[in-house]
Amino acid sequence: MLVSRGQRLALIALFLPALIVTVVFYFVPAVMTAAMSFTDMDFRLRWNFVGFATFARMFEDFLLPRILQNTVVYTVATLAFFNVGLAVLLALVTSYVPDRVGRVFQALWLLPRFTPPIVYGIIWMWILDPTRAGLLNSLLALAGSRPVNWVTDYPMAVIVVTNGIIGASFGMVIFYSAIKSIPRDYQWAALADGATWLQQVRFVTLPLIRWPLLFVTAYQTLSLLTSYEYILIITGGGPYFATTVWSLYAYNLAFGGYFANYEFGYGAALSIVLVVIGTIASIVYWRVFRFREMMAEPKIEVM
Amino acid sequence: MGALRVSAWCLVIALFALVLAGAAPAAYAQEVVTLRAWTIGPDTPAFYRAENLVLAAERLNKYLEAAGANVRVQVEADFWTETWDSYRRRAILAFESGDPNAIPDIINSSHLDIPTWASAGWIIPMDQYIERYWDGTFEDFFPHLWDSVTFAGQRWGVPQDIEVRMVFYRKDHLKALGWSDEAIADLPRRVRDKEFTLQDLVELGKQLRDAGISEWPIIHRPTAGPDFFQFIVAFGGEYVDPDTGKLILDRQAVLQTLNLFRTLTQEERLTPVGMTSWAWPTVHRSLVVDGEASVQITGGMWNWAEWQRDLGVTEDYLFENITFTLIPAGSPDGRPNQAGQPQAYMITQASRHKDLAALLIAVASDVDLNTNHALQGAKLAIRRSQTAFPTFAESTYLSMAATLVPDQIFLPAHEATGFYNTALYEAIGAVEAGMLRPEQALQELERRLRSQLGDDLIVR
Repeated sequence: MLVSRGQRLALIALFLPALIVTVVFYFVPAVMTAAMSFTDMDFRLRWNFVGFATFARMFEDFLLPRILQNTVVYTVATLAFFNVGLAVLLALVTSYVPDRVGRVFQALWLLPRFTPPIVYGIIWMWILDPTRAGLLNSLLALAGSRPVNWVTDYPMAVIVVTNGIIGASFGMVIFYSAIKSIPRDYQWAALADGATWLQQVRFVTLPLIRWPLLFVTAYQTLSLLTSYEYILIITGGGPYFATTVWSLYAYNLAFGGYFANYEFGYGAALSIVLVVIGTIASIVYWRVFRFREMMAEPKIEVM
Repeated sequence: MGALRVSAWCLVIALFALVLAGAAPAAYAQEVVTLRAWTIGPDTPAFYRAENLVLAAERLNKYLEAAGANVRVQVEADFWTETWDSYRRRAILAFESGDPNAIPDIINSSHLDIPTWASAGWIIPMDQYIERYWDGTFEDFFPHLWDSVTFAGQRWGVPQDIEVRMVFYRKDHLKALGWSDEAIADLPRRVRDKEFTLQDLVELGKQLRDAGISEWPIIHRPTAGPDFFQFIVAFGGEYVDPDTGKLILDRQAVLQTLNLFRTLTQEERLTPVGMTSWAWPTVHRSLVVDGEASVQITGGMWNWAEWQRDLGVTEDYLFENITFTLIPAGSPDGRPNQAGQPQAYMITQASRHKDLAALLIAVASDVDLNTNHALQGAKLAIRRSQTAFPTFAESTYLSMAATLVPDQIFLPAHEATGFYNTALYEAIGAVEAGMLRPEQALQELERRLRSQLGDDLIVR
């Protein structure tokens, strides 16, 4: 496509703000983090390059296998049960009930998304408080039960549920619009063939929302790998690393503890490993889910 | 026309003269220097840490006016009531930016921050200023407080307050077990003389539990803090080598400490196994208001002020229901003790007004101002003459708390003290939750400390 000089300038002018934001807030920090991962930078903030020493340290860090296991369990469980599983369920239910009811329900489910993380976290801390002051324990007290130490006794479940409830809304909105865009003819045809609701879902709806399903799975995997703010607020990664995921571990090395640890070099190295894992996951998803086909222009076009 | 022209010229000249006359004082105008200060509670009654700097500026401005100086000081003091870690994170990020507009001139924090902040070059040595205002001001400070702000042979801050930590007991619960008033009054002495030990405390907890007097006989703070080192000393251990300044992992004493917390939680259920996930307000309420707890083994004297301010109880109620002692000894070679954590005012490297900041700190250390802080925040005196200052001397609580001072310990001025502090607390939390046995927790603590400290750790 030929463009005039003026058009080219206009294109650059339009493109520039986005480019500046991307470079300043994504590219530069990423390069600095990568550089920092080859230093032993501590509170003195000196760029003392030590080669691969920080990466070698990972093999001696006896906590790291536990943290890797936490990360895998947390990501897979939240994804399967909430960010995809519950999201599909919510989208199906809200698309089958009258529109007005479905929308109100979705709006309610989206509320935590609009709530500042610290508020959402504190609400959960109140719900899960280990004494009778907590919501769940005050309900148990009505039934005559002793308080339960939710965070201590069920640490992984706590972070999966608290992150999942907020995470499911993303998939819910996407799946809902995908389901609504399925031509009604398919469902009528299925009904005419005597398909039950479950059979309609299994053989009509789910195959037709395959692409959104794959997209949400891929996107949310990467999102879960790098998110830690709710865990930080609700459990702080405890008790004793039981809910510390990779990204939170990296954060805590730099800023965590009663006194910050200031281990910027090692923390940066752990972040870089996370970037590598994320990149590999993206490539795998791209190939396995054949995203190229989704992005490609249709081979035929019906006029 | 001619007359008009002349009068117009006169007007111009008059205006010019007026402008000149107006400009003359402007050339001698006062310079107003704004000093920014960051201070922290996080307990709200400690607000005089900020307020005293503002009051000091008012006082200083009077002196400057009387002396005919053309400088005035304005203070923008910030008082942080969030957590310690968020305060430190905020400080690091500001220091890291290197921007003098983002970094305060004066920063108040624990003396334990000095090794790190001084090594990083974020704060300046204050010896020259301490010498400058020594006569009549700093000479009056209790000498051991200067040790707490000394690192690498220099003094990096001016002590702002000192407190004692203690074990709080509910008197009414002890009475319900049959303790007489005399027995309760004698408890602090028995603890000091090692007649009442940590083992006796566990026994007391069992009696309270068995008698159904409280749901959780013994509770502790739900966050990391210097408090847990008190138990190492109570079991006869050490955590710093005075000769080399290296940190010590005293395996025997730390194991006994971990065993104590296992007994309290997993074995005897005197303390909730999820104690580390409690919220601070619940800890305070359970002991002081609801009476669901009987003993708080990691209390601090400032709690006394917090309870009155935040829970709405009166000091009479507290005298009626609460008593306190040192942390009891846990073994024959251990000693009863309590940890102090002096706070200090420091001057940042980035400050453009270091001399003025130092002068302001000296004025803010005036006896009456610091006594405001001591009374309002329930803290001890930093100056000898404060103990004779009428309002200070009248406080029964402060004089009672001051009796614990001789058994005070400090945490070491070491860059890794913070890591040790957090790692020890995490090990205790793991034992309490039943995730690790005390031996495993000790082993993991040792591995973490070795990895962090290398040759700077002595394991015994």
